[in-house]
This record gives sequence, C-alpha cells and structure tokens, in this order.
Amino acid sequence: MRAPWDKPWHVEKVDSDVVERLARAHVPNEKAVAMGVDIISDPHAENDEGYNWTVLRYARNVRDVVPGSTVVMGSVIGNYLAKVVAWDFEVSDDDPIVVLDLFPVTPKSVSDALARTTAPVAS
Amino acid sequence: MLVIRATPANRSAAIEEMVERAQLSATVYVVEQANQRQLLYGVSVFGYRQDVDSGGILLRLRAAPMFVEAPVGVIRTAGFEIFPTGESPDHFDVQLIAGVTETEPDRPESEIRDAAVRLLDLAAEMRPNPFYSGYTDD
Repeated sequence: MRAPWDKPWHVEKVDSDVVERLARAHVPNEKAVAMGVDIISDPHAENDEGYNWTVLRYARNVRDVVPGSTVVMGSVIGNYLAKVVAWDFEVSDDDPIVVLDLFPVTPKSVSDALARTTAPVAS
Repeated sequence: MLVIRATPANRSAAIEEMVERAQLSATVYVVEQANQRQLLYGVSVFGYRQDVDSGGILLRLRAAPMFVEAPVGVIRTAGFEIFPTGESPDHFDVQLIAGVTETEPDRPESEIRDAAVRLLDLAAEMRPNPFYSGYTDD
C-alpha cells in the first residue's frame, strides 16, 4: 500500500465474491445506522501508511464501503468524507480492516458544490 | 511535546469512545515491550512541539467541537507509554493498558475505562476547537 500523498487515486480492489460473502453475513452497525453514516471510525486513527482505519463490522452496508467508494465516516467526533482505499485481511477474513483516506473538505461544502451544479446559471 | 485528542462536547462520551477504540486497537495491533508481544490497547493522538502552532491538527479535526491536550512527559510519568506509529511524524498511540500478551484473555471493559479516565484526567480541561464553528458555517 502507498501513502496517500504518494498516489491519491490508489485503490486495492476486492473480489466481488468476497464482497458478496461478507455482505450476506453482515449486520448493519447500530451506531452507523443511528448516525446515518456509512461507517464508524475515529478520525485520529492512522495505520502504518498514514491512512485512517476501522473494521467492516462498523459499516452500515458492506456494498457501500468497498474499495473505491466515497463514504461518510462518522463518530462522536463528527462526520468526515473519505475514500475507501482497501480492505486489509491480515487480521481477519471475516472482518477486514477498512482503510480510509480522509478528504480535507467538509461534507457540507461538497453537498453545496454539488447543489450548485444543478442550479440555473445566472445571466 | 504536547499531544492532542479531539473530543465530543460530553466528557463521558469522550471516555466511551476512547474505550471502544482501545478495545478495537487491541484486536488489530501488538507492540514489542519487555521482550513480549503485547496487545496495544491504544488511543490515537496527534503530537506537536510546544513552539509550533497546533492549528493544523485542530483544523484537520474540525468536525469535533472540543479537544484536550497534555504534555507527553506528564502522560509518561503517570505510567502510560506513547508509541510513534507508521509514517506520520505527528501520530502516536497512547497505551491505556500495558503488559497484556496475546495469550491472555481480553481485559475487562471497566479496567480500560478506568485507564481512559486516568488519561483524560491528566489533560487540561476540555477546550472548544476554534475551527469547529467554521465547519458548521461553511
């Protein structure tokens, strides 16, 4: 895996059969559901490469947090936008580490920008 | 050097979050201590030198309403080990519970909570994150 500042488009794809196996066994995380976020993590947490990390059992929906997805990561310390970079199976085949690259923008700033793309152009 | 951890507005919620993350950390990470592989009941923090502005860290954590900070020396004197982690020069894990090897049973949640309370007590009182209001307004 590369550090985020080396290769911002880097994603480690996961086989679709693995995604489906884990999705079938998954129970939506209660906190993620209650908070309306894709996955729970701690914005302080960093792995050896400097990426944020959590585990798949903290996800609301497995298919929403596959590598390459843009997600809202939440915690009691607020919500952050992130890209899922990889699932790391080193510790567990059934509950992989979800590796996240936090975006230095707020969810609201992105939703505001996207809303402007549908607004009529001022003349 | 000082270390910072962003927190929710509520102290008990901050403690519960630290407990949960330390438990998760212990399922994933180990550290070499005293010739043993010990489970890392770790809480992540960001560090900075006292002559450097902490604004960059707090800006990065601007969805958090509050933060706490404490000198590394105070934390170590109280018996907590602090480990640098990976490639980020400003990221560290504070070990809440030391000496637990991989063959031992998980530590009870109450013990981890007591350690989290002790660690939080070492910090100055929770202060507002100066970047938090900017987060809600932008």
